[in-house]
Amino acid sequence: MTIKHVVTGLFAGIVFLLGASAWAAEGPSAATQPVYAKKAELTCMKCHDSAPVTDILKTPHAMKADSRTPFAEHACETCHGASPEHIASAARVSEGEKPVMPAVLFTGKDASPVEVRNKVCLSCHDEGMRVDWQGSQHESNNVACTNCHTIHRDKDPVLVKATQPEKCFTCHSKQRAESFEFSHHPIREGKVVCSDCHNPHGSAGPTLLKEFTVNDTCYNCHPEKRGPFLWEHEPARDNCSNCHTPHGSTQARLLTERPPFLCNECHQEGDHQISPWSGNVTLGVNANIAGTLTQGAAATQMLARGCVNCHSQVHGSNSQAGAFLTR
Amino acid sequence: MTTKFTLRAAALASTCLLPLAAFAQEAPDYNNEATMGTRFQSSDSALFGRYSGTPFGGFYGTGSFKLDASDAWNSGKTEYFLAEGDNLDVDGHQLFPDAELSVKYGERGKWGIQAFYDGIPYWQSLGFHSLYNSSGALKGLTPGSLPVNSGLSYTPPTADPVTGALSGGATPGELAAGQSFLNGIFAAVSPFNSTQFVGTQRDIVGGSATYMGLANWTFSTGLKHEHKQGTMESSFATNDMNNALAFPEPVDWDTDTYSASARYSTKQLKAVFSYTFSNFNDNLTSFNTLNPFNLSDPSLQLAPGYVGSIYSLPPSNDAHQLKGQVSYLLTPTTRINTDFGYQLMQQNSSNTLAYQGAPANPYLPGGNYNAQIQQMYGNIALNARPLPKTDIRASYSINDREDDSPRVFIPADYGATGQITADTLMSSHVPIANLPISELDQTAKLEAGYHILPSTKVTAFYTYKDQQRDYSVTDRNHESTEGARVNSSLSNTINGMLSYSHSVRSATDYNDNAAWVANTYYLSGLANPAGLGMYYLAARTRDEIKGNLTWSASDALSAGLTGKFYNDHYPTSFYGVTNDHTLSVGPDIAYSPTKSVTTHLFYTFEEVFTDQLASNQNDPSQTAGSTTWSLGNKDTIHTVGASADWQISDKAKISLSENLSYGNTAFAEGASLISAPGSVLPAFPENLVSALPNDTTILNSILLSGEYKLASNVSLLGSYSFDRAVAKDYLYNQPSTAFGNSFGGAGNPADYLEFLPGDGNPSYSIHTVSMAVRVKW
Repeated sequence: MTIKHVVTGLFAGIVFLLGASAWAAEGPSAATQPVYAKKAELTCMKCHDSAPVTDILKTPHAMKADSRTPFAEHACETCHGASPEHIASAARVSEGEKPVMPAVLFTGKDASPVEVRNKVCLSCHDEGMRVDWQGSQHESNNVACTNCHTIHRDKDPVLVKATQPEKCFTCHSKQRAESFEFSHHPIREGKVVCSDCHNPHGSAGPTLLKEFTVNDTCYNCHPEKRGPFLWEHEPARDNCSNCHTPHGSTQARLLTERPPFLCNECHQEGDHQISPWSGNVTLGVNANIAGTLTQGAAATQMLARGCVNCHSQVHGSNSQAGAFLTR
Repeated sequence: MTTKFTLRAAALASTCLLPLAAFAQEAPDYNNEATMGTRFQSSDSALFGRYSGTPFGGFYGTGSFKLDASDAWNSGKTEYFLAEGDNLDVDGHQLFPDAELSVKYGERGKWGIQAFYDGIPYWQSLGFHSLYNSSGALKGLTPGSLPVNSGLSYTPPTADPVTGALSGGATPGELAAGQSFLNGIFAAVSPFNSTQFVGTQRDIVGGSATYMGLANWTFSTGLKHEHKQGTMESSFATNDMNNALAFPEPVDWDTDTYSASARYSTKQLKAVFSYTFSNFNDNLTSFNTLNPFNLSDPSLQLAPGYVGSIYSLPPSNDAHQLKGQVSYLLTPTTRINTDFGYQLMQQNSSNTLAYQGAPANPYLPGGNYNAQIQQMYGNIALNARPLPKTDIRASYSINDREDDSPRVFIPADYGATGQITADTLMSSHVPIANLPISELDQTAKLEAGYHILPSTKVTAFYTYKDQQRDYSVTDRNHESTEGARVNSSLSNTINGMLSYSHSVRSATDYNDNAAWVANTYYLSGLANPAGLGMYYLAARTRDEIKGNLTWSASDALSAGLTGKFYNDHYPTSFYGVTNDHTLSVGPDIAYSPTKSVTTHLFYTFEEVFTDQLASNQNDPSQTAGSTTWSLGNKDTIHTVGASADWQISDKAKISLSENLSYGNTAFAEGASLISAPGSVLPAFPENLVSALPNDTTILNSILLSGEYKLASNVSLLGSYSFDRAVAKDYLYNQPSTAFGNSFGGAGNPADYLEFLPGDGNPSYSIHTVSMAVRVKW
């Protein structure tokens, strides 16, 4: 099957889907108009008068003079939905009655379905960097906005550099483990955060990267690797992650494997590339690699940066004599 | 005053002046705070302080502040002002190396401006050894003063286990003479091998403005300038290719980024258009230096104007990028999204010559390379719910990267007189040319999900990817991936996901070794053995399974388990990577036994395994009876974290955290015959393969911190931490001047000297104690 057949099939399907979805779309219902509390947030704050609920008053969501905010409309009920039954039942709590839940609840065991919760947030936040939310990895895996965002907090932890990674690591445990490894990007140190490279709300790039490709993402902070170079190294131009693992590694320089073995995966042209770099042969039978090496005891490829000791322009060279990426 | 300090001073001034205006406004109580204190660090370590900019032991001053003069939520106004500063550390060596400062001012929903400064240090070494300084000067060493090493016949002290003969045909006398000769070199070099600090500092300043005054439109623009200065560890091969020497590569870079975007949003149509210009300027073009060893013609290096070894530094370059995103709601349940972009990357720096001065004749005339890559992206996706409970997603994307750079042919007879120059690398008298590598990727995806139960959704997906390449080993890859995923809420408190996919990638191998042959084969005369598959291009099958389970038992207890495993098999690769797999799995538990205590615990197990096979240099023909060697490279990593926070009273709280990462790399090595049943391995020393010792790395950090309120707006902060790194690695057992052997048999004498950085073992054990006072107003 060629790409042509796949694309043709996709667009034939699109025609069908459009027709079907128009049929499936629900028309405007004749539901009764929602009844909001006349005193808006003052009604809610009769009971919900302490932190963390009231922390929302320190956030942009509560700015009543900003016509875009929930508090400019129905305050709490803009997001939690018109909840007259909840308000009415509150008066009976003192009589031992269990209160009726608000129309939309975002956390806890009584939380509303993810789709309902997200619909509330997306009613305002569906533009800009969230344009690609529909169909994104997080959306299709049923991630709720409130799984990551904390609304009733003066500063949402996922929007603060120091606390954002821990929120992401709750699900992305592999990346958290890598961030603790010997070689890592300064994620723990707070200098790089997940959202510097990723757009968790959806993107056209791989693994929710902000840019279209891995390399374009890396070039944002490492423009010296962008070139183009006179002598290119194909895997470096192809994808930085061919050799590097971005979140952390047990090997130096975020490498996926130690040189010369990493290089040997593609370079076995003979001569010095493919000697069996092992514990005895490369070091001489009298040498003990675990001990202090004596002069002349080790192959150059086994020392320091391995092959890169000489081929140090591994990302590309702009020297006329750089064909071997040595200059 | 350096640029670095100028930038910092400008950033600090802006953050100090703007608040003055803001203070004139009425501010709510305790919106502002400032923290000042001191910190003691017990010892030096570049690894410990690599990103914090605090590699030195001793006392530091610390500070941070926040000024918030924003209008209150119910004030009827929407102005905001926020200034923040963090990591304002200072010691005897540095001023604010990792400081962060920002100022934001604006009117919500109308306009906003912000400015920021960010310092990012990167310390690489406090014990880097080199014969050079960062400008290329040999530190006290006269060029050409060291003895000639070319032609030295010295082989490693290996003996054939069967015959006892010394490898390389060396005699005991030669070995002794060689060792003596090398000892002489190192004795001569040692006085000039200086210890240096190596590291860089990024200073980033920028600002942006946003305007939302037009209905449905938002306009933004931003400007960022980054200056990066310092040195980084590097090494180069000398012009005679007989030596590799460590040197501190100078870094003096400026990067400017300008961006502008326009967003349009209505209920039905959303669009974002942006333009970004990035300009990278390297204030240096090359690292020019001399070879400390004599060449075959000792007078060469002493010729006026001769620069024997020129190392190219990253060329200045720029990139223009136009991007667009459009999302249109076709029907209430159908949205079509498209992303598209165009990028132009250019580099027109001068070619770095191989060398300068007599008797060199440049391979190419001077001038610029004039390189250019154009990249076009496009993506269109349809997301629909055509039937109740049914979600469909279909997408197509294309990425066309076209390298329009000219092919540069290095001529055969490069010298005007036909003279072979001192650079033996280029003395083959055959033309070679660079490779403008281009690629066209197309991907089509189809995903269909159905709610088999109200809380359970099953999704099937299929992806087809096609990659076409120029000047590559493989001209085309096709990859098909099919799989299924189940997302389910098993109960009100338990959610889970399980996914499996299988992919098959094929590779059309139209010209094995094409890239190598085109630009280096004629120089080396060697090619990869038949059957080598480069892992990122070769045919591959991948099986991947992912899953997670979360349990919100109560408001006080939640637990999660995540896992991921994939296994790759390369069916057509005899050499190279034949198999690899990656596994990560671990739980994450949060528990609050009381309202005042919260705890968190996590553990992750990772295994990264690569199985590879290489041909043995003894018999590159790779026929029956020839030998191979293999490596099973396995990383095993355990990561554990635990933390607890206890609000003891209204006045006091303490926190304790522990994080540990233990990594072990095992090198399982072996040798075997390709195919000769019943045969024994030839008795070459090279066939006595045994595993390298394991490499172990440990990072451990314990932090105890507390806060006590002396008054409602004054707090005392204190912390103690113990950080430990352990590295057990044969790489750290080398002296700062060491050499290796261009490993070979008879007729291939070891004549390669390598001067290493000799950083030593980076392990550390460091205690820090800090005290600070926070005042709020």
